[in-house]
Amino acid sequence: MRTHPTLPERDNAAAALPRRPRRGLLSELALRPSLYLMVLPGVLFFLIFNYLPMVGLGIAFVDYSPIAPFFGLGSRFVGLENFRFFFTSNEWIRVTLNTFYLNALFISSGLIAQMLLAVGLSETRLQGLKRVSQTLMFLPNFISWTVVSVFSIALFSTKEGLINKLLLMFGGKAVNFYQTASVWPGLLVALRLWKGAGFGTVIYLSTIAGISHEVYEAATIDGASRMGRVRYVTLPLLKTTTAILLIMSIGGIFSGDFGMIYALIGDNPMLRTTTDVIDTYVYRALRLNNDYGMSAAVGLFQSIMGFVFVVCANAVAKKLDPDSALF
Amino acid sequence: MRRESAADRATVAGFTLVCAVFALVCLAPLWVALVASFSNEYALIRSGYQLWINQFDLTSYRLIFSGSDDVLRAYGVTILTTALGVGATLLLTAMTAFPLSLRTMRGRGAIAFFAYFTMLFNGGLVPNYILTVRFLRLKNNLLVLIIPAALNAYNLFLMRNYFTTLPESLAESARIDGAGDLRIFRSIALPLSKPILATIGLFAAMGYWNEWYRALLYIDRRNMFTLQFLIMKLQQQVDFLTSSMNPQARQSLGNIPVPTIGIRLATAMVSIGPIVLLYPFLQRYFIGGILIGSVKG
Repeated sequence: MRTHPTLPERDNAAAALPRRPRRGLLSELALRPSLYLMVLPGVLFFLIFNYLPMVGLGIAFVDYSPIAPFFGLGSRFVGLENFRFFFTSNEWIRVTLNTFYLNALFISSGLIAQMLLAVGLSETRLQGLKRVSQTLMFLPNFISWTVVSVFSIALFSTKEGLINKLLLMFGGKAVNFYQTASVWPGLLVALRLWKGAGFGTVIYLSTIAGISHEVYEAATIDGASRMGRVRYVTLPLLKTTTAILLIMSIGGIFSGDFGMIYALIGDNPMLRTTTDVIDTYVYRALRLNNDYGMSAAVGLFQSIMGFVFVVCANAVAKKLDPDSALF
Repeated sequence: MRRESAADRATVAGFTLVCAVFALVCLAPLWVALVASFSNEYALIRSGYQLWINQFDLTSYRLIFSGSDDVLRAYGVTILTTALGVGATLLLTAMTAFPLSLRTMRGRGAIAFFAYFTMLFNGGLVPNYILTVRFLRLKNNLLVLIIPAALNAYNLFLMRNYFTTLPESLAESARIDGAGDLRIFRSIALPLSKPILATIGLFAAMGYWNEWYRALLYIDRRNMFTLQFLIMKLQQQVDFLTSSMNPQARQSLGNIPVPTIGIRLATAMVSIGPIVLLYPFLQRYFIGGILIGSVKG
């Protein structure tokens, strides 16, 4: 490697720039050291916090022992044993299906609600009411799931909960929410809509704001009613946005929302049949059972599936609208 | 414009109603928890959660502030990690993004892909856990709440895309005046990028303020708990705070049992207080943040 005894003057670098000669990377480094010094911490960051863990996935193929060299990576190699353990357990289908099913519910309900609310907000003519509703709708997005779980106890607890009080008031029967697994997909969807649907309208609102006024005027002249304008102008023009949002979220369908599910349900085993997702399963295997190898194997399985889904989703998005693709 | 038909008015009214009702639904849980936190615990247990304060009672708030240090300390930890975290996020993101925005920088494509790939593939929980606990030895260290969240590819590209929109002529003329890259970054790029810095900073502040996941994994010393993690502990173990309560506070209650539900509610309310109060003023930055540019590698 060549070394440079003195750093070149910055002025020289600046003077050399407009010509843009092709130089080797090393001389480039020497010429504009500050630029490379600036990216260095970021590059190191990704290396440590993102790439080292990828190397660490090797743990999926060993019988992890904490005293083995290389932070356990040097443990006894067992091939696909950890994977076999997971894929022959009867839990793998359950957690995989739950992850898929819950995410599918969240995605579809979310898109419909966001679209409906965005159209609703844009059709509202009382500006004050519109602003206030918008602010209130966006607010839950900024509240953490742990606080939401405090709220959900106020709503769903059996004896004091508001929902059960309402159910009794209207002649229904109280539901023991925290012991009834079958109600939770619905509750999770509701809580998620509560938290995210309002803020999710932002992208739709901006699409609607971008629709030319003339299109609406033309529709009105052609005799379209208010509803007709929504149906034949607004909604069709939201199609691309919806498709892109849908595809992008399908890219993440393999990652369960640990933050939500663990905060709301915790380690409650009674609700596991419907709410246990890959991420909560991996967490339990690691923290409660100390099963490093198997947790890493499940994590690797999830990462690979996630990768495949993101890349495919992106390819589809690119076809649909080149501007919206991630890469 | 022609007069609107009754059907049109009904349509508008319907949409307005849907939005207003949803907005109220969004407010309702917050409201119920808020009034319950100011209610007497006995009344709460006897008649359940209600829409108005049931026997006004400040005991829960008094206890979380004077009965035990936990809440105030968690507040301190949360404020500290949020402030340092936002600073670290902005510094690291801007510093890394700026060179990548310069067309004249060699190797920027490779570095961008290096960052971009982290959005596609990750090591998952176990390797991260081992990295943090055994390699970096950050267990029970507040840095674990600050550093790992300080940079991500998404923010990096958001920032870089913003830098690329700045007029190149400004940098050129500064260069002619003898300014180096560092100087251009500090005196031209950063001051012109306040909107995006505000947005990234606010979302980062949100993330740090609401942080509990890393605390769950890496913090088990009580004096390092974040607010949200303290709430999580209270959820799992309703008397978590009570066990650390000082004797004076306990005596002052007389023979009334400690309001455990109230304490949990009051802590939750206190933790979201700053968000609820500040959010309406900052709303436009958050909205702007989502709409700024598409993210590309």
